Amino acid sequence: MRKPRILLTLAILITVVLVACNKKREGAAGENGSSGNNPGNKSGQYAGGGRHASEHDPCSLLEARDVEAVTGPLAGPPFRTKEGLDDPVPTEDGDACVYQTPDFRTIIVSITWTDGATALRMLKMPSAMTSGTSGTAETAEDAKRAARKLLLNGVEIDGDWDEASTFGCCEIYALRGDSLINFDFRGWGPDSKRAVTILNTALPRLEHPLSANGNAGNDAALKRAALRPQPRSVCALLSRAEVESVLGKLAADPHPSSKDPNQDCVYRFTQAESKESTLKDAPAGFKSFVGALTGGRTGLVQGAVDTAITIKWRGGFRQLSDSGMVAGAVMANYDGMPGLPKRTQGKVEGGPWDEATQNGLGFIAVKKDVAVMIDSEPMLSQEQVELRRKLVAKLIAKL
Amino acid sequence: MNFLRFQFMSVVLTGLVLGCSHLASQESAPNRLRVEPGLVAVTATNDHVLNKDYEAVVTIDSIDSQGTRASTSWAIPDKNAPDGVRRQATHALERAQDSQHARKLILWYLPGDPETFPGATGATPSLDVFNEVRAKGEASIVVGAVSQTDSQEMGAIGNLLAGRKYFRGTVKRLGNESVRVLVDGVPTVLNAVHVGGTLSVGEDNADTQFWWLDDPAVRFALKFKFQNSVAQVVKIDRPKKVEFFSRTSCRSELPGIYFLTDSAELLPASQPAIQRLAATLRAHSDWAITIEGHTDNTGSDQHNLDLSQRRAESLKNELLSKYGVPARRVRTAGYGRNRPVDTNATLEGRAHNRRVEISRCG
Repeated sequence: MRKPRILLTLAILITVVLVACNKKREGAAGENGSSGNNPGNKSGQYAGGGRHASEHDPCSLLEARDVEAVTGPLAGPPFRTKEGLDDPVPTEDGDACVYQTPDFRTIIVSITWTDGATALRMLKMPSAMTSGTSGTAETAEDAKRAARKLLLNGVEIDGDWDEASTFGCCEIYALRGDSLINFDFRGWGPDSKRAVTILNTALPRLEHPLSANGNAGNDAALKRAALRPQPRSVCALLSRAEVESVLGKLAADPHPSSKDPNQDCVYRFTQAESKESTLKDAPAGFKSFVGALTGGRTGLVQGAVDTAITIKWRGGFRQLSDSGMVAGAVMANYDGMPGLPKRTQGKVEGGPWDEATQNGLGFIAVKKDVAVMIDSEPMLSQEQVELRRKLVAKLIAKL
Repeated sequence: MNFLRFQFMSVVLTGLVLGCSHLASQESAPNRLRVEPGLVAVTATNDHVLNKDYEAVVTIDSIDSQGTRASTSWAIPDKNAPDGVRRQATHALERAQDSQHARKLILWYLPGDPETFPGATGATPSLDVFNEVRAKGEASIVVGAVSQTDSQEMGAIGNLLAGRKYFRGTVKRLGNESVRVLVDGVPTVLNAVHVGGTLSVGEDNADTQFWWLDDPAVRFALKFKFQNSVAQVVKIDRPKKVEFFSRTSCRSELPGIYFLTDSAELLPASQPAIQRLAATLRAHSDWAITIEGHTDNTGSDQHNLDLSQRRAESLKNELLSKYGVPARRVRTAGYGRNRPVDTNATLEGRAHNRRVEISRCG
């Protein structure tokens, strides 16, 4: 979700830049009879973005052992992929480097070797365009927040960067000199402090990259990828009897909601009435909002209902991070919660998954980087939520 | 037009005026100077294309255990603005610990920047860096600035797009030099440690020089040069009471009055001086004064005459509307560039010539 937005922004800005550049050069030529007043000969460097794309191997900032010191053993040597892919598949001469653990968690490093300052500026452009001035805090709270160090995943972090910007729980853009590292640990985990120790190892090496060949890890990564659960029909993963053993009698055969049977499966069943609310630990503002909608009742959803299980076969851990962010943004509207929630919020232990979380949008469990999600609206009771988790657990065992 | 040139004024923010001790003065030694809340410093940089000096007015708001807070106002030309000027303002905090230890100096503030840069100062070095230069003759630093190469290439919106690069390297002590500054309107020569070196990032090199006040007890950057741009403190006005007329003269320069560049708009930092002037007029009800506006020699005669007249009128209107001074007691005159009191060949000389005088000579 992030990359397209950035790319769109960049595309717009690059267009503007090119127009501006052309106008300037024409103007300079017209006024002075030559364009000699424009120093440098880097024209076009922003257009393709490829001038420096492969200056160094993206794996040349971190050796496997640097990462392993924090994550534990990796599944193999780092490999190269293409930046921005949902599924970081091995890609010859890709512009990003992937560090992968045996359970397919990933840390992805991509580097803008030069013109990183401009790239970071573009990332910050929305606030720059709206603020108009520098350092002008809207409120005292803004001022206090600005005075703090970079805040990520609920903790203050400090690094060897010159400037940095964060996105969501688990992504840092760190500028040093004129090089920008995009350090994406959404696919690894929520421990910002430990993640930043890896980033801090990488940053000083921007000036003196290590000798590395990230392509050398691609073959091994391809072989590992073959061991991952392969996409298949979601409805075929559990028999009707298996589903009914959890949800009770189904009113219809399970069926996908779209043309892609590998994407989801819808189950229609009769939901029993419940008195307890899943909202008992929810922010007061949100409870109040739901209470207003439901006349104070909870566990409203009863009778014939549809519930859908959706599977994201690749990039499951990153999906976990992103869904928490979206849910957090929704909840923040009701709770006045500043910033985004920690990824650990809503963490659910004790299932057959590697990691799972319950948030305002539903329950999401990840196994081997495959994300299994089931909707669970706020009006559901705790028992009704548990029922859905049981179904997910049963399905994950079949992956 | 290169927007970045005008932004350069904002580089001279807190860093040039932070510290908590006195400034030593030599020429026309006024009272010793302390950097304290209420102190105002005016920095200037010359746009050689338009041949115009652009000023930024920095006010120290507070100094406490957290650090030093300062506000800055400046203007940049904007053809789309109704009066051709875009107003800029910023608030900055330099943290106390950074004043002590930081090795990073931020020369450029950009729209959207936070109020503070943890781990960095402005153009003024931390005590660690300053002491290292004095003791060892050099110090390694990091300078955050927008490369002119980048901004020029990107044209009119270069300032918005060109990000701040961080140039690394070592600056060496080149010697000591004098820097002339108007302190409370009095030309004052301050002794500065001159340091310089070539800092680089990738293939981009920047000749960088600083003139830091040579006083270990106070941190104060008086001037710096980055690539082809120079910024300099040209005025320092202390928060104190001043007598406007000496016993022997019926004419007085009026320090503490600040206008937006090329505009008759008074900046908020002018209020203390205006308030004092109004109080003086209240105390001397028999006085009638003439407010005289003066400019430097950049721009056309007609433009300067008009600007100086409008500035004098602006100050008069403030006295009348805010402080109830009767109109009959205040006249105005604009002399443009015709009555310089200093050279027009230097930044600080032109800053001196851009002034307001009051006269009760009759």
